[in-house]
Amino acid sequence: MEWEKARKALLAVIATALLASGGGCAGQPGERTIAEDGESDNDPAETVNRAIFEANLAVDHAVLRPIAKTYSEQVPAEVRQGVHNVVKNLKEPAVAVNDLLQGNSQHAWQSVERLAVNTTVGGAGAIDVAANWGLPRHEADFGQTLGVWGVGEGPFVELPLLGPSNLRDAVGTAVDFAFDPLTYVGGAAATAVGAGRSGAEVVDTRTAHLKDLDELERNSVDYYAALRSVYRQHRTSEIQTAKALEQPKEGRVDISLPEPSP
Amino acid sequence: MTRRCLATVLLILLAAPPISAASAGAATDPSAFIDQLGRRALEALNTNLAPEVRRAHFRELFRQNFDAPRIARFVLGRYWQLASDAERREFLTLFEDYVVFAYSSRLSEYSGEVFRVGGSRADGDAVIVASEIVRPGGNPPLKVDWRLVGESGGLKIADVVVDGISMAVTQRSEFAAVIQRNGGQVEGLLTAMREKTAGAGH
Repeated sequence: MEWEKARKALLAVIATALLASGGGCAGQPGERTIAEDGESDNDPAETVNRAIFEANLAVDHAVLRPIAKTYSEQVPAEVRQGVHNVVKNLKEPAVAVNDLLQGNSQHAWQSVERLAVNTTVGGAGAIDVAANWGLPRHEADFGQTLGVWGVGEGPFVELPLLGPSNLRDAVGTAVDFAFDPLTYVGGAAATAVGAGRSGAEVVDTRTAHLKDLDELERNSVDYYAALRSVYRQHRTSEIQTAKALEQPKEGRVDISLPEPSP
Repeated sequence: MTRRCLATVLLILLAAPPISAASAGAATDPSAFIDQLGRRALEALNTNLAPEVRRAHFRELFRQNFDAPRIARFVLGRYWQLASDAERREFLTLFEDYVVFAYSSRLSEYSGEVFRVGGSRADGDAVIVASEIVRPGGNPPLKVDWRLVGESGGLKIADVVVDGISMAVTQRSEFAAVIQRNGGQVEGLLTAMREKTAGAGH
């Protein structure tokens, strides 16, 4: 199945088209908070975005949400937790690379350790042993890296099937595929694993937000606008947190291993 | 995550009996203010309340502890200036109904989560109190920041920020979108709010 490659290609096309149309991805100096932005929603393509959103919602109601609901009701919590851990474990390499790019070598080293520990002692990633050893999980992606580097969010974009995003993060998602080892390993087995992993990730993510999104959809007077605002604030907060962890750069990426205690 | 966990925290507040004038005067520290509410709420949490009773308590606590007029003005944003007096009045009433409807509906999902209050810091004319909700299942705790305004004897909540997402900012963005899609008419928003809260029981 060529789903992974097709998805990557689709994102690359969208990202290129948006960049080519001068989507204002000119690297604004530092992230502006939503409050400073006044009340701008930064959504010039709102009509198109809303149309894509409606289509996404239809697919979600028809396919994804029922699957997630059944998954959360029928599959035992331990099994679901195991799937969640495996999915997250496979992302640790990309997290580590992005940590380094953000100038956060300690966090990067932590991700590497987590990958090693959980893959070996944690049953190929099914058990998050590392968390009990003082190595909590954190997330990092290339959209966040771009943000830490000072790239502004750019206009809001509702991606087909993938949901809310913005110009910067859409580019980031495309680049993250390049960090994914499975993208490069050919052959039927790898693509099967890749597809399985994608499927698991989609269901896992959807299930994690099942109740919250149900409630938001039911209570909001404008679901699209609510999700857009939540997404923007969430990303801004993630980037600010990552920036606070940035270690001072000396013009090069410094990979230093923690020194053994005396 | 946002509304559900806010509802969880607000359940903590709603279960607390009203703060008497004496105890309110004693709670000069913002952290203590949030902490006291939390403690009383946790004590009262075991009672099994009917939905209508919960909503009534929620409404009472919202009135007592939240600066509703200030939040409503912020949430209407630039359209507050454009609204007529009658529209503003109706918005204030509907806003309270809407908050009760939107945030109390998840209270039945509450299941014993630990609430920890941290320190406070100044931010302009407000004080921000940090707190955490410890969730079961090894997930990282939920960070909840409370934005308090007013004098030490009469502290009120002006915003709740859950994991970096401000409830007031989210609501403002949503309401603005509705008004824009109704040709800039505030009445369009009022209609939507009326429809949502109709039959919610108040």
